[in-house]
Amino acid sequence: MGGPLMFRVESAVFRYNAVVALDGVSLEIEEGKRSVLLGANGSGKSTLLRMLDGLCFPDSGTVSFRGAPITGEHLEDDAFAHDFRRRVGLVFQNPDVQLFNPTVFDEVAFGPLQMRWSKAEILARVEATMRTMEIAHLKDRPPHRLSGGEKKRVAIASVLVLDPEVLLLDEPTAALDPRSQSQIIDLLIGWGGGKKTVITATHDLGLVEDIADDCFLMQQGKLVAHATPSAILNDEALLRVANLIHEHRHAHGPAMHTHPHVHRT
Amino acid sequence: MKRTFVEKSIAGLAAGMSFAALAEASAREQSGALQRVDPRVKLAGMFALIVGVAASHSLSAIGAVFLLAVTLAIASRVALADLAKWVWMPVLLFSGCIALPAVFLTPGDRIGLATVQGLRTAAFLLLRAETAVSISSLLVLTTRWSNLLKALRVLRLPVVFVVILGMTYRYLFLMLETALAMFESRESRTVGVLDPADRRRLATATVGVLLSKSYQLSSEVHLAMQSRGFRGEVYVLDEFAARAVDWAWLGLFFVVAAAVAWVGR
Repeated sequence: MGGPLMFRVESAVFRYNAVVALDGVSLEIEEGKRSVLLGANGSGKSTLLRMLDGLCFPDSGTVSFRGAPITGEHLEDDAFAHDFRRRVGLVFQNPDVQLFNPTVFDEVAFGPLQMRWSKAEILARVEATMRTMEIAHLKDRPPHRLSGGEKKRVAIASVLVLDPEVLLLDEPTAALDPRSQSQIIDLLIGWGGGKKTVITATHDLGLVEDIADDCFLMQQGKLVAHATPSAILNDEALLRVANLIHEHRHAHGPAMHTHPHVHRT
Repeated sequence: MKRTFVEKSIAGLAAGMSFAALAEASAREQSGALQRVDPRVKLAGMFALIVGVAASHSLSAIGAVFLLAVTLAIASRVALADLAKWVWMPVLLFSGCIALPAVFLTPGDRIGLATVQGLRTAAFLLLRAETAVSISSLLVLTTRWSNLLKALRVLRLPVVFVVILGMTYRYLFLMLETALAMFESRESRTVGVLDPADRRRLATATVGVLLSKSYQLSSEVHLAMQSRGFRGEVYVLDEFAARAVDWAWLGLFFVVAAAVAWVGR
């Protein structure tokens, strides 16, 4: 039995000019669930994530958060937008997009400043978040001078500082070294005592079982499966159709050997 | 391979990145005298000094301010070799080119081909330029860029202007890195010497791609800002607190600025 409904997407269609990014996607995400949007590049998972964050809106179909429709008109309402932005946080795939402030401190403080919190509260929350994310020593550094792993931690901190109810993550471990990947995964597992709603878009099969208890498989803008991570990962035919595994040929002495190949980082 | 004008410009800007790195490291030198002064005091005080130097008609008074700038550089642990490389030599070359004709063309008492009045005019131009640029460089080399931006608000610059300036500076680095990577990638795939028309065509195509990338990046950054609650109004956290010693520094700057202007009135 799941918790109250957090997001509902009904028959969402979205096009980038003539290219269909989402083609009639419907799904429901319950409060407290850790879900994964699994799919190959171009499957529409990043677009869906942005739609859940109210950054783009379906050409047809609907998206709602806790029963309230997420539309451009609704987000024009200051009270709703303020509340929604505090409750839902998105970590972009490319941290350079998200780190636009002169220092790490300013970056983490940006969200709270937009929420018009008091100065004392902002300072306390920013300091606490930087300690949790182990980036306090980077406080005065300009974000463009950080390593890939450090940038990602700052990007996540800049969202977590608002203590959102829902965390949306777009390829959180992309282009990170194994140690940084492991740190990010540990953080995601532990965040909010494992009770918060986390929706992660990824094509990394090795990540799915660690961070999710619910899996949506996407292919070419369509939702093709919804099941537990283990059910999806054990369905070789499904993964092959979704372009997440492929035939791999290599030599064993003089003989050629063929088997399905899975990329797990 | 011969470089085009655009490539040379990009390489020149990349060299500017080295200066920015030097400035950042120098501004972090906590044992330096100027590094400990409130950025607003430095900005206002050094601006006053530059105005004083510009208003003064006394070579010795301007020379005294130049010596003061050198003394402050030493006290702030700014390497004079760096100042010579990044400030004094370029200013000497640039201003020297402008001042040189005056040495011969200014009417007055002849000393060979030059005139006394011409030499005096050239000396004024060079010394004023060297002193003013030395002072402004000291400001940059002893103040973190983020603090300098915030301090600009004492000049009553709108917050939105200061924030845009900060973002421009931050993303300039990213676009420069992208441009350099594109040129390196192209050079690694280019054999032999391209004719000028091809070089121009490639350079133009590169500029077009960079423009397109910067447009895409700016759209993404705007989405990232929206996602964290940005609604068109910019808020910043002002953390400066002037101490008695800062007021003393401000007094010193203003007294010297007034003195140099009065002596050279």
